[in-house]
Amino acid sequence: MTVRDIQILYEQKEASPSDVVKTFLDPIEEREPKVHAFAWFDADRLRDQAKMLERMSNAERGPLWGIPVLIKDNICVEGVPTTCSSKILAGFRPPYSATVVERLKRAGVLLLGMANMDEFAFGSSCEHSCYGPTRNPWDLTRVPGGSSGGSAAAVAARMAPLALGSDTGGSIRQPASFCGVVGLKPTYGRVSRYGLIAFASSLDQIGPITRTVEENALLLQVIAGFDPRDSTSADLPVPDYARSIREGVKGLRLGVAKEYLGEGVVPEVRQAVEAALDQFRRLGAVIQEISMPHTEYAIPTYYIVATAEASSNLARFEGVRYGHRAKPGRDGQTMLQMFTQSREEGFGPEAKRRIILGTFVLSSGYYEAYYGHALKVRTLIKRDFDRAFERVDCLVTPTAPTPAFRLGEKLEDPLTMYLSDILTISVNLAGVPALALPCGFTKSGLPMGMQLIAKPFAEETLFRVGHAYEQATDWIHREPML
Amino acid sequence: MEYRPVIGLEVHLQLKTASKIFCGCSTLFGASPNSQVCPVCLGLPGVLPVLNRQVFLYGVRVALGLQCKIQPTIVFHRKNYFYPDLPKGYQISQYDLPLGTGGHVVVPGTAAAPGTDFKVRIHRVHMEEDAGKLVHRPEEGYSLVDLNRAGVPLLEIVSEPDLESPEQAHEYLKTLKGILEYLEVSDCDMEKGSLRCDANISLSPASADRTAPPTGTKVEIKNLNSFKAVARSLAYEIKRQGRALDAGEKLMQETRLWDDVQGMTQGMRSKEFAHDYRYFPEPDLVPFAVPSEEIDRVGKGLPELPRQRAQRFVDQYKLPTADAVALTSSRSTADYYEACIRLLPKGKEASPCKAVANWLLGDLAREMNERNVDGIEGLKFPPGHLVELVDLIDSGKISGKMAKEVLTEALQSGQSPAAVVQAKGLSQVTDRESIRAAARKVLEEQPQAAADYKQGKGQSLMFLVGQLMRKTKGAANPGLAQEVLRELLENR
Amino acid sequence: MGISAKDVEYLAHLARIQLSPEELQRFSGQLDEILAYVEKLKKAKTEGAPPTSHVLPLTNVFREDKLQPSLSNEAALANAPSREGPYFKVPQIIDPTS
Repeated sequence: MTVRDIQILYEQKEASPSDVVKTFLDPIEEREPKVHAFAWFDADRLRDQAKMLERMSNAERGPLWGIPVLIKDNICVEGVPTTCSSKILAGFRPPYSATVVERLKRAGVLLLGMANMDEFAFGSSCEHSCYGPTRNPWDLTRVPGGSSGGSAAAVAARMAPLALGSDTGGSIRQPASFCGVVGLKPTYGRVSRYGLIAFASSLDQIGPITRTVEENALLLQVIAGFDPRDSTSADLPVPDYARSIREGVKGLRLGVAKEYLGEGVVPEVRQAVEAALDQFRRLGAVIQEISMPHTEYAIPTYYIVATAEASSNLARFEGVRYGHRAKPGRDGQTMLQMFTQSREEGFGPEAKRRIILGTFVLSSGYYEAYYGHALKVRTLIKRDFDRAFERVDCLVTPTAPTPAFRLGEKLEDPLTMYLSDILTISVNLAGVPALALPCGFTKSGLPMGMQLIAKPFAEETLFRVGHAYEQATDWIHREPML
Repeated sequence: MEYRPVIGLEVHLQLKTASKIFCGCSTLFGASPNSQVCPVCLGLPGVLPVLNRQVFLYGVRVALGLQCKIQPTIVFHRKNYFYPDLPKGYQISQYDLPLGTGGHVVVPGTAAAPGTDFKVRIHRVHMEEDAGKLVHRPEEGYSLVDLNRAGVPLLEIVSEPDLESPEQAHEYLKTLKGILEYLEVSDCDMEKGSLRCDANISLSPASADRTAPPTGTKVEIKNLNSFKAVARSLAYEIKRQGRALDAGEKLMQETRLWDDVQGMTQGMRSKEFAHDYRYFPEPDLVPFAVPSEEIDRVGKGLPELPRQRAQRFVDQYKLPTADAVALTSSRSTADYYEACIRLLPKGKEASPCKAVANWLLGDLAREMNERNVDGIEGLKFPPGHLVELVDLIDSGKISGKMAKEVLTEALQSGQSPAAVVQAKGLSQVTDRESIRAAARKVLEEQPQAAADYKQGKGQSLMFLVGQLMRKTKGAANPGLAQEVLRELLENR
Repeated sequence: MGISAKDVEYLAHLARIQLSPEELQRFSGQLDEILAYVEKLKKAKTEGAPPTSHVLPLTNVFREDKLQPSLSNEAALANAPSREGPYFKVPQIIDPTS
């Protein structure tokens, strides 16, 4: 069921939120054991929420009244275990909700549960979770992508109509691509980060994962906008996305950068994106070649900036106020032991690796050579985008260089895993918005994704372009066989 | 060998905002543990800081009051280290782009060298958040954490290493505290911890060039709970380091803790204190910039500071410079003084101005010291009372000696000086006839002294005055007593 | 740039993570590989490029000095692994500084 389907049922009084909960409980019960997209789920609580919603008067009912939304496990929901899929936060129930969650509640949604993810959003496969891996609904031997793998897999498997993810280097777009759904990384500052458990504060954004572009716009409409609790959220009006979404692409200038179609992008993906460009030409868009010369520096820049910030952001998990604390040994426990053992037991290997790397690039004697230098290269990468958007309205690239890879394939080879983010990472470094949407299937039936990138706060353009493409193709109508 | 101490001080000042620096929790001192905390200052996962505007305005005020230049771009950094009282595992502080730099404080000369002003340069003024508090239970082998203080706004005021003795350090702190009180941004209460100080000290050879960077090994002293402790700990370190250097030992760059009871510093050996703070720009806060009009506006709104006020006291009230400096070093004393002056009868202020100053710097200062009260308002002796006391002396109603008694009684009972005089019947006898009667009796009882005076022994007059005062239980006006006695003796 | 097991041990101490000898070995190899890859950044010509730590050109974001409700003591301590009365409880600290 799409959001629109549910809303029509409500409008025609053919179903209540309790009925809708029931229609989602069946597929969840059937498919969740195979896909494992949830980090936390409580059917009773869901039924209670539905009853609460039913007691609301018409005037109180918000724009997403009675629509189930799955929340990534790193977005705080008051009283609900929010753990970043990490042992170190096992059982943590925040005493407050993230701003986006407050806005969703005001819009009347049903909070469906918490979605599995790579621990602290460190990963591109959803294998680094203390709850075990999530699987790709299109092929259960493959990863759903990450880190928002649970959110993308649940939407693809029709267990949730809408989901929230977070994107630091591609964590919404890459799983959207692997799972054949639509994911948006909004402009940095468009959506409040208050309540998003930080990975890399200067890169993180919360964004919607949905089946269609239109639903994506609908969900962004609810969560976007200035938040006085987030100093980095932009105090700008949020446009009415529904108004412009049907305007088409006629006359729009779409850019293609050769740096995004280079080595590493497998032929099937390249061909799918080229076919999409043909589609856009047919729809009246103008395609231009442009150059993004600093793209090759994106991954090293990202891994320095992101791990540095992460090493600091994860320092608060030390077992004093919340989270996992190591048991004292036979000889008791000193403060230092309490810190080091709690963190050793609580963090998985990828989290440890990134914390150590981030500590290194900030440490005395190395700061300038690594972190300081990376911040300057970040400026160069951002300037590539500034120049590109002087010439074009939107860039078109593949989302990921390959379709979903197999579970375990890259687990012990962190560098190769990092390289799979090559097409999404620059977007976070530049702070610009990007929309990932399906653009075809491989011969073996795996979804492939296309990424649309626009200038800051031009999400409207992305929805417009994405919607035009979606209307002209039928990829969104395919369903995984589960 | 002769050494010259090179001393710099870091002062931490808690700002008296209503709410914390990055969240809306109260900053009130003394609340029950962990009752003034929220997700932000507890460092819960997902929270973000937003800067309190008042902290920034107070910071600009202090920076300007200390003659600093406000920096065009002001950035917060994270200072990363682990300690159980530091909720996020980093402190939001400032690093290479602080609020203000390049200021100075002019310190009036020390007791050892009065009248020799010296200048202490202010390296920087920056904003940061305070940490929580630990309660140690060493017998039970654990500690307790209270995070009410976590996130209380602090200004750190770092001096250049311009101080050369513990006395100078002490005077600098006194002067700095005076200025900060005038700026009305903090309680400046060391006991409550709203003013704290760490010291840095190294020794240079006495012969070394003062303008060259110091070459000694810098030691940081922490756990200093009073200005006195700062001076004592520095004196201790000067001795310790001097002895070590004389013995050819190599000093360690380290942090040492002052033990006020034992009167010594001790090094901290634990590995927990090996730090590499890994400063980097705080991504959760944006940069700040103050438009120059705003700087001008705050600058114009600054109150008169101690130095300017002392000069005005000299000009306006004709006070000696030393008195003016002493009166103005504390804002409350200077305000009290001027409140007194305003109450003086118009047209005849000149001599009472000095008298009021004398009382404030003499008896009242001593009373404050003895009663261990902080500031003149702690004495419960309002300006009206002091003016009344001075007026009682000036009009001859009581003697200066009686006035001291009256003051003690007034402080004890809370009555006004006039009421004390009334109640105790202390009024000075100024009636010439009653003094003459008493004087006649004295002369009868002391014929020898009277005769001595006649023979030219002038000092016996003072003896006779003393006898008269004793007879009247000190109530006689001493000037009048002397006059009447002389008159009687001359006419005999 | 070589990163030895000993370097990793020091970094792990700074980050307060205890690592086994086996992890130290494995991480130093993996970090070496990552850092070798990162070396390519050195080629980037950054003359005249200021550092970007914020992508949005925002400045002067304040809140007013107004009190907001705090959490109850119970809510503040609800997730604490160990507590005593109204306090969080932690192991003893050697060399107390405050």
